[in-house]
Amino acid sequence: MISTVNQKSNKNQNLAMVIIGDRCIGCDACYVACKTDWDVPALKESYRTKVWEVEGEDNLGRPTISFLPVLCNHCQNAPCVTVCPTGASFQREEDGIVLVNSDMCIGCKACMIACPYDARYYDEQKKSVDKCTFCLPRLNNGLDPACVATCVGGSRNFGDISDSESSVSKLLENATSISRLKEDEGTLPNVYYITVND
Amino acid sequence: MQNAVGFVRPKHNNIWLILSCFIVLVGLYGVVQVFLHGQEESYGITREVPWGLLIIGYSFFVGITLGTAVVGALAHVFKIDSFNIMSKKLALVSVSSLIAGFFIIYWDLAGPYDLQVLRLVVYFAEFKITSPIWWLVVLYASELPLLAFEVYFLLSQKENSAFYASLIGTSLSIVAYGTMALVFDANSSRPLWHTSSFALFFIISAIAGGFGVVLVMIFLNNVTQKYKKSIIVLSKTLFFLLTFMLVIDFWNVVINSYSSDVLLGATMRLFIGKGVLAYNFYFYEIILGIILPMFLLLVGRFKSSVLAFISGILTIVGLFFSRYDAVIGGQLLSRPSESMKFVLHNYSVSASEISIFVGSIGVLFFVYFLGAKFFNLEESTL
Amino acid sequence: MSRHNITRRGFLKLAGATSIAGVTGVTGFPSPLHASMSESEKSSMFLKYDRGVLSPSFCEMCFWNCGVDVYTREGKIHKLEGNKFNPNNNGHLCAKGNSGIESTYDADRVQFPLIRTGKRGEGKFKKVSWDEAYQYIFDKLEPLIKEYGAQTLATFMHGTGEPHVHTLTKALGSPNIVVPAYSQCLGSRDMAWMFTFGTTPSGHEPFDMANSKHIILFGRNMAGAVQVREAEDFAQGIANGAKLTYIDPRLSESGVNATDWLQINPGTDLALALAFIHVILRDGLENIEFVSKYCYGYDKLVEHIKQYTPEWASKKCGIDAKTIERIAWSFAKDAPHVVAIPARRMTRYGNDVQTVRAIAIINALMGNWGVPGGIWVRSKVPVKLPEYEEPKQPSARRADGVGDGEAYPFAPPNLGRTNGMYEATLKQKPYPIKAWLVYDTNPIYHSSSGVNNILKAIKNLDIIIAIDTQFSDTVMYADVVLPESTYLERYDNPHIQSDKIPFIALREPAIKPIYDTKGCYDICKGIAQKFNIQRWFEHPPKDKINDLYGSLEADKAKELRQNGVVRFEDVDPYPIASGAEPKFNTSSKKIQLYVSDLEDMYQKNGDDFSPMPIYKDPPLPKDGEFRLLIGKTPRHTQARTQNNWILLELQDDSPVWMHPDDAKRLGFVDNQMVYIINSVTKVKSKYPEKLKVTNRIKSGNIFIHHGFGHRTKAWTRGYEKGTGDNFFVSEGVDPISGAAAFNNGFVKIVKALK
Repeated sequence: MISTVNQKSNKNQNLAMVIIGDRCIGCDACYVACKTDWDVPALKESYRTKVWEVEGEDNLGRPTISFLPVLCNHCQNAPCVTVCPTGASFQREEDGIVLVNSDMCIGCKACMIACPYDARYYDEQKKSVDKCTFCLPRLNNGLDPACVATCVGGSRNFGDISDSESSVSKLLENATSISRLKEDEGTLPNVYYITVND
Repeated sequence: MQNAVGFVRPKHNNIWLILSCFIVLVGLYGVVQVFLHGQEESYGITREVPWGLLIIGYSFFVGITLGTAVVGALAHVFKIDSFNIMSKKLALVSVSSLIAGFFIIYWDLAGPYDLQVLRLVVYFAEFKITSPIWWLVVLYASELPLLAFEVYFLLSQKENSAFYASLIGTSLSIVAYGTMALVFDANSSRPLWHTSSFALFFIISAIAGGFGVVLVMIFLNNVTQKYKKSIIVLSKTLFFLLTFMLVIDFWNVVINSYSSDVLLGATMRLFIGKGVLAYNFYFYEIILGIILPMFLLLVGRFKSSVLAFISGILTIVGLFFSRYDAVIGGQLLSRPSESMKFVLHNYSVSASEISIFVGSIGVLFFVYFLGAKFFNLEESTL
Repeated sequence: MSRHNITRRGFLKLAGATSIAGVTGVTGFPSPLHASMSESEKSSMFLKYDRGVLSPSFCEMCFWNCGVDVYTREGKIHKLEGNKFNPNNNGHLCAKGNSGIESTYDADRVQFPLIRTGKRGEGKFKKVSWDEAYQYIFDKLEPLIKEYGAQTLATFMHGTGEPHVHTLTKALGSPNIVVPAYSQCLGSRDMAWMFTFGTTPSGHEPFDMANSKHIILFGRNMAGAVQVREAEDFAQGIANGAKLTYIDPRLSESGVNATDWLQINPGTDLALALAFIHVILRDGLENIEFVSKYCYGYDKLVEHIKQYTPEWASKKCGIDAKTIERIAWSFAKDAPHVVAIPARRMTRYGNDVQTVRAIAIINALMGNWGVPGGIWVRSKVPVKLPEYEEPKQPSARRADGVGDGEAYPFAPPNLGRTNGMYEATLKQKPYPIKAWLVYDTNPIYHSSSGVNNILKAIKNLDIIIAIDTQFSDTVMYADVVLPESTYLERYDNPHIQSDKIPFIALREPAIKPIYDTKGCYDICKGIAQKFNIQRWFEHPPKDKINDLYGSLEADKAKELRQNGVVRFEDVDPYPIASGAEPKFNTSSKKIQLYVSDLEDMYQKNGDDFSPMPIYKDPPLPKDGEFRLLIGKTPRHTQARTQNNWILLELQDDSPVWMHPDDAKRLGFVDNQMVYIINSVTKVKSKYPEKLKVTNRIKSGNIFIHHGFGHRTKAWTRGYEKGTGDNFFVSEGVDPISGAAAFNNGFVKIVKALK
C-alpha cells in the first residue's frame, strides 16, 4: 500500500481522496473516527472532516437531499501554505499532503482565513492551527485514513492518483461524473467527488 | 535637569499617567481569563470567524500610527507649515499607537504565556516572502525603531535627521499599512476584501484618522488660539479625506452590487436592509464616522475648534467601525460547495476581547504619558 | 544613519542565531530557496503511529453487536476500529460505534454500588459496598417473593448481559422477563414474518440489498436506523444501480438516492401494499412456479385482493394509481432479484402485523426467497457448541398477557411485552407486581406507555433494582444501583449469530474496570448467592470462551484467536437459487399467504385478525392537531448514547419538523422555538424546541427524532437535550402482536416566547 515517507522512491505520489457521492449515507462515522484517532478537541467547531446534509428541490419543487463529506482538499496550489509566515503550514513534495507543524505555528490564523474550504481549526491544547493530515501517521503504518477505514457506505476511497493502476485511479476512470469543490479558486484540490450511477 | 539635546523633564501632572494605568488594568481581566481558561474560551472568535476584535483593534491602532505619521511627515518632509504643529507629540502618538497595536495582536497570537510569538523570529529565515504576514513582521519591526528615532531626533532638535527618519518612517508606515491591508485582500476567496480599492480605503481612512487625532489634540492641549490657521487647513483636509472615503464606500456598494460574484452579492446584503452589519455600516461607519463629521466641519466653516474636535473624535470612532465591518464582513458568510446556500456565521465580541481592546487603548495612553513625563514635548517657539 | 544599519543587522543576527537549521550567516543573505527547515524535519512529527495492544470485542453502543478491534496504548483505550472479519460490519463502524470509548471514559458513569437515600427520582444515593447492595436486595425482595410469589418480580433487560439476568430471574422463579425490542420495536414485524415464512427478519435483516435490482423500503430508514452491514449492503445495492422506492411521509436520509419517493399518508402502508399485490395478481406478474410450489393460500388471496385496486388505494394513501402500477410492474420485472422491506420499528399504527403480512406476501409472490438480491436464508453455526444447564421456565402465568390462553397467544414468552408489564404494574393485575429488576434499559422516560403512567406505576413497586453502566433516567429512580463495567472492561459470553455467514465473535476486556464496577455475570451471581441459587452461576463468560475453544476444530480455534471472530462460510444462503429444498417452519410448512393460525381469533374478534390482511383506516388527527411521527437519527441509540460528547456534537437536539404550509397557516417561521402539547393528556414539553420548516415532511404531520430529552441530572452533558417523544406518542397496541403503536399520537404545536 502506502510505504513510508523515508523511501525516496515514492517521491512522485499524488495522494488523493475519491468520494463516491452515491454511497454516502450521512452516518457521520468519519467525523467520530477522525476525532477519536487524533484527539481533536471536544468542541463542535473542532473537526477535520464532517458531512453536510444538503437540502434542495427538484424541478417539480419536491425536496431532495444529498450528503457532502468535506475535509482538507490538500490542494496542489494551497493558499494556506502561501500565507503562512513561519512555514508551519507546508506541503510535502513527495505526496502532496498539506500539514501544519504545530511547533512552528504562531496562531495568526491567516491560513484559516485563506482556506476557501474552512478546513482548519485552532487547537488550544496544541496552541496551533490544526487540520486533516490524510492520516499520514496511519499511512506510514500501512493503514488507510481513519475516515476511509470506517466509511460504512464505502463512499471514501484513498490512494495515489498518479498510479494509473490504483483503485482511486480506476474509480476516476469509471466515474459517471467527476467534480472538485470550488475549482474556480484555482486551488487544484486533491479531493474528488464522483458518481457511479447516472 | 536640562541637557544639550533638550530633554527637559517638564513639570508634569502624574494624574494622566495613573489614569492610563487604570485603563491598562481593564485589560487585565481578559489577560487573566486567557491565563485561566485559554483563548478559545475567552474570545468570541470561531473556526469560521477566526479574526475578531483583537485583529480589528490591531488594524485600528496601526492605522492611527499611519495617520499621525503622515500628518507629521507633511510637516517635516513637505514643509507645510500649517501641519507643523505638535510634531513631537504626534510622533509620540504614532509610536504609542504602534506599541498598542503590538500589544493587542500579541494577545491574539497563540501562546501569549509561552512567548510563542518568538517563533516569528526563530522561523524568520524561512523567508516566506509569499506571506503578507511575514512582510508585515519585517515592515513593522523596522518601523518601530524608525519612528522611535524620529521622536529622538525631534527631541534632540536634529532637524535633518528627523527629516530622514520621518520620510523613511512614514513611507514605511504606508507600505506596512498597505501590507496589512494585503493580509486581508490577498485572500482571493473573500471578495469583499479582494478588491483594488481595499488597501486604498484602508490607507485613506487611516490618514483621516490621523487628522482626527491632530484636531483632538489641538483642542485637548488648549492651543486652539495658537493654531487657528492650522485648524482651518486641517479641517479642510479632513473634510476632503472624508469625501474621498464616502466616494470609495459608495462606489464599493455600487460596484459590488453589479458583481457577478455570488458570495460578494450575499455579503453586500449583510450591509443593507436587515443585514447583520447594516446598522454598523450605516449608522457608525457612514453617518457617525463620515457624514456627521463632514456636516459639523461645514457648520463650523472649518473654523470651529470645538466642532473640529468632535469631528476628530467621530472620525476616529468611524475608523474603528469601518475596520470592524470590513474584517467581520469578510468572514461571516461561507459555504462548503457551490451547490449549497451560504451559511451565516455569528461573531459576538466577548468580554475578554473588549477588555483587552480597552487595555490596549490604555497602553497607548500609558506610553504617551510616560513619554510626556520624561521628555519635553512642548514646541519650541518658532 | 548608521544606527539604522546596526538595527537591521542586529535583527538578522538574532534571526540567524535562533533559527533551527543554518541560515548561511549574518553577512550573506540566505536564499529563500534554502528554507531553514527541511520538509522531512517538518514532517517528522507525523511519522509515528503506535497502534497499541489489540483486544477483540463486539460493539455495545446499540444492540446489533458489530465486531470491534479495541486498541489500547499504555492502559488507555485509544481507538476502536471495525473488525474486518465480523460479518455484521466488515471492518466498518458507525458514528455510535466509533464513539464507544467515551462510554467508558465518561465520569458521569455509575462508579460504585448505590442505595437510594432521597425520594425516588431525586437522585440522592449513598455509596455502599457490593455486599451491602446485595443484602439490601435480598432483604427487600425475599419478603415480597414470600408474600406474592416470585412472579411479583418483573425483569426488563436489553444488552449482552441478558442471559445472566434471564437465568437469575428464572432461578428466582419469575416468568416475567421483558425485552423492549419486542413491544417497542420489532415485535409486530417479527410476528408477521413468522406467520408468513416461519422465521423472523430480527435485527440482522436477511435482505440481500447488495445484489438487489429493486429495493422497496416501506418506511425502513436504512441510513438513519443504522445497522452497519445493512447500510453497507444498501449503499452497495445503490452503487450497483438498484432502483430504490422509498415510502415514507418524511424524506429521511434513506431517500437520498431514491428512484421514487412516495410521500404516503401515514398509516396507509397496508393500502399501498395491498394495491401492489392487486396489480401483481391482476396482471399475472407473480412467480407462479415458485408460488405454486412453496406458497399456501394462493387462491384465497387472489379472491381477497380483488377489492384493493390501485384506484382505491390511491384515495387512501395519496399516491396516484398510475405510480402504484408503474412501480409494481417495474418491481416485478426485476424479480426475483428484488426485495420489499418493512420498517424495522414496526410499532406504528396498530395494524402493523397485517401491514408487514402484506409486505411479506409481496416478497413471496416475487419468489425472492433464498435467491440473490432477495431474502437470504440464515444458517446456524455448524458446530456442536457447549451447553449449560438452565433453570426451568417458571410455571406461573405471565403478567403481560403473553402465552397460551392469554390475550396475545402468539407473542414470544422469552421477550414479553414491556407495555403489558407497565400496565400490570400500574393496575397490579392480573397479580401484584412489586419489584422491578432493570438491566441496561430505560423504561422510565423512554417507554411505550406514556411517562405519566409509568411514574404512577412505579409507585406500586417496593423495590427497583437497576444494573447499568450509566446513570439513565431509570437509574435515578432506582432503589439500589449495581454498576456494570462497560463492554470495553468486561468479558461476555461469546456472540453466536445465525446468519448468511454464521459466526462467533469474542469480547475480552481491553482494560481493567476504571471504577468499582463488575460484569453483569458477577452482579447476577452476587444476587444469586444471597438467595442461595448460585448453582446456576458456575460458568463465567471467560470459562465459556475457553469451553468454546475446546469445541472448535484446531483451524477454527486458531481463526477465532487471531481474528476475534470465526466465520463459517460453508453454508448456502441461496438454497432456492442453488436448487435445494427450503424448509418453512410454519404450520402449513409452506410460505403462508393465508394464515390459518389466525382463523380462530378472526372468528372471535373480527377483521383485525383476518388470515389475509384487511385494510382499516388509521385514526386521524382532529383539526388543529398534528400526527407525531418519530424516527431514528444515525447519531444516537437511545439513552445509552445521550451523554456522549462526540455524539452530542453531532446532534444535541431534536427539532420539530413541520411542512411550510402548516407553518404558514400557524404563522410559524423556520428556527423559531415551539412547544409540543399532547392532545390527550395535555402534557406540554418541558422546554421549547426549535422548529424546522421543511417540505420533507408531509403536511399535517410533525416529526421529531426519537431518543432525546433525558431528565437524569447526573448527566453533565446529556441532561434535557432535545425533546423526548415519550410524552407524546400514542399508547396503542397491535391486537395480534400486543406490541405498541406509537404513531397515532396527536399533538398541538404552540409558539414559545423567545
